[in-house]
Amino acid sequence: MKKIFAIIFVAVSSVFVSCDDDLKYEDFDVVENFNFLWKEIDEKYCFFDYKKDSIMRWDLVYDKYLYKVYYDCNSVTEYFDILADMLGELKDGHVNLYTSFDVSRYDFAEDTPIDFDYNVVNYNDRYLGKDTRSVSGLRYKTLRDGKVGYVYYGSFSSSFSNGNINNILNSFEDTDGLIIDVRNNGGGSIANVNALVSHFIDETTVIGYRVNKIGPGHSDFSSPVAEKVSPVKDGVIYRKPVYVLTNSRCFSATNEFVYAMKGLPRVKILGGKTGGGCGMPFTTELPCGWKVRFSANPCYDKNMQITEFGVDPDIEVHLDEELAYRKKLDSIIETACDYIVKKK
Amino acid sequence: MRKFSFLISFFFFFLTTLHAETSDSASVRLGNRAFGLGIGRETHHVSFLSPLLYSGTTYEFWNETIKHQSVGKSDFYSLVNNRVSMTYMMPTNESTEMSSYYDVFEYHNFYDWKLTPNFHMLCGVYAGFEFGADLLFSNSNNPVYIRADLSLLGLSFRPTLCLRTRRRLIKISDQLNLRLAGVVFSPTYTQLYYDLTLEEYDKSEFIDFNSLSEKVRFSNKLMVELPLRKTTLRLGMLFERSKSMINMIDNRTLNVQALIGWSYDYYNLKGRLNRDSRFTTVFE
Repeated sequence: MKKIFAIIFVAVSSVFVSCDDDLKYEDFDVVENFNFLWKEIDEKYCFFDYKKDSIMRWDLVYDKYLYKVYYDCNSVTEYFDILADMLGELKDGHVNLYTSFDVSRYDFAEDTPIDFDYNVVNYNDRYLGKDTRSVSGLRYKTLRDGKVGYVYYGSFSSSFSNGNINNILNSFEDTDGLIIDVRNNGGGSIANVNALVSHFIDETTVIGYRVNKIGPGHSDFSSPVAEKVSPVKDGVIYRKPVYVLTNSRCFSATNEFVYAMKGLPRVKILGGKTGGGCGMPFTTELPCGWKVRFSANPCYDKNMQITEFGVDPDIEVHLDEELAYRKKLDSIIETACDYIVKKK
Repeated sequence: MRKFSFLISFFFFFLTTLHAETSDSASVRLGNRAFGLGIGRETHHVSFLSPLLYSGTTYEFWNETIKHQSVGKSDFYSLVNNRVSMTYMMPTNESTEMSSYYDVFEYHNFYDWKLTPNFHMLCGVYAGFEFGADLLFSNSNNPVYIRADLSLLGLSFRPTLCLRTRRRLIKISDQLNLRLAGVVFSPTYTQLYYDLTLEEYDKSEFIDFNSLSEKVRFSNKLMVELPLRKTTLRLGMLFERSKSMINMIDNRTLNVQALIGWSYDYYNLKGRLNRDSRFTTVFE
């Protein structure tokens, strides 16, 4: 009896002798780290097909930067710069390399007009100077003797409630139109995009489509799935003309908000082309502990178009910088107000 | 106080014997309950959050209930096991910290194959579910991986040896579980949970029915029950290994824990008492 038990015990214990080989952690080196980063991007980045005419082929990128790792890398910071430059080849504002001493970034708005003067908008009493109300990241006020409602939303990371929006829209009850200014809004939560859009539609509306990667190939994607937004329940729906002000710094969730609003009845996009960024970012780690973020799932607008490089406005207007400097006037806001007041 | 105790005891036995009959009655069988704590080391890899291997200390609270049933001449045991765990882990480079919280519930049903009068080979099946989350908050866009695993069928064995000394009964048992098939809730790698909430999404894509080829989960728990003066101490070691590749997400876990707890038998008085009734402990 004892023998039986002993045999069973030994047999069971022996199962665990060699079961953890694949759990052993292996030391890394700069080449292995580089290879890992290149392979992660190769298998999981979602815009290779879309950007094949505008970026270097990824296999050629490997050769170019592996050479630098071998011959141009003498310190951790130089190694970081090499990896950052490699990721910069993707030309994607959603691609970042995070370390304890720096974060790599791609300037998606380089060489584009800014179209926004923070001081003019926030300190001129004509706009958000005096008598401005503020709640949950939304600053609002009426312009042009109460005929135009103006809301500035600086970041979709600032969450708000339906009650906040209801109160804001109720305060604009007597206006002839509304301006939603999302210039310089770098993005944030998709949930806030849908919550805001729901106050400007009368029926359930498809605002875009989603796909996700289902394999390591550059073209391995699932079938598109519609993203729908329903009108807000028991809330205020604004049914007068709406102008959404944009510039090249509108990115990520803001880009999604703009293409969701574009084409809706009563809505016009006014300003500059947005910065794009329609890939849903995903974060992982490298063997050395650095983190890398990249676009993993592409989002399409309601016409199944990718807006990675931006959404064109319905009415293109750029900021008159001289007017802004001399008279502290924002020509984009003024244009939108003219459209509302004069009912163009 | 003595009078009070006497009266209570008298009424207790009086009331029970009042309804006793001399005809055949079921002997009173006991169930067994045990609960305790576990502490050990877990090595963990969940590719949805990180490609690195994390390891750290795990803390667990567990409880177990065993009940005996007779069907004809055969004996069956049902076992309900619940474990709540917390684990704090770091990779080898100690750059970040991951924490893991999960609850495991299992229901086992064993057939008692008595190899010898004091050696029981319990063979059976089990079903259960595991629910929890792995948290890596330094991942800005995907900081959480949700674990939701319904085990529909698994094999379970629990050889138990009862060693009777002059005054005490020592039980040694070794429980082995092997998951055969189940359902796992899992997004695809790089897919965010937000997408799964979209109305038009095909839910079957992230509800995955799998078997040994996709997910292997094996555990071995060695336990010794040592009766002390007024209680029974249960000591044990748990080895648990799981490995899965579902929707391109690679998960691997090795969990080794030392267990300590208490075990006690409880009375099931549904049967009627008679002169021939005798109290027996579970597995005796």
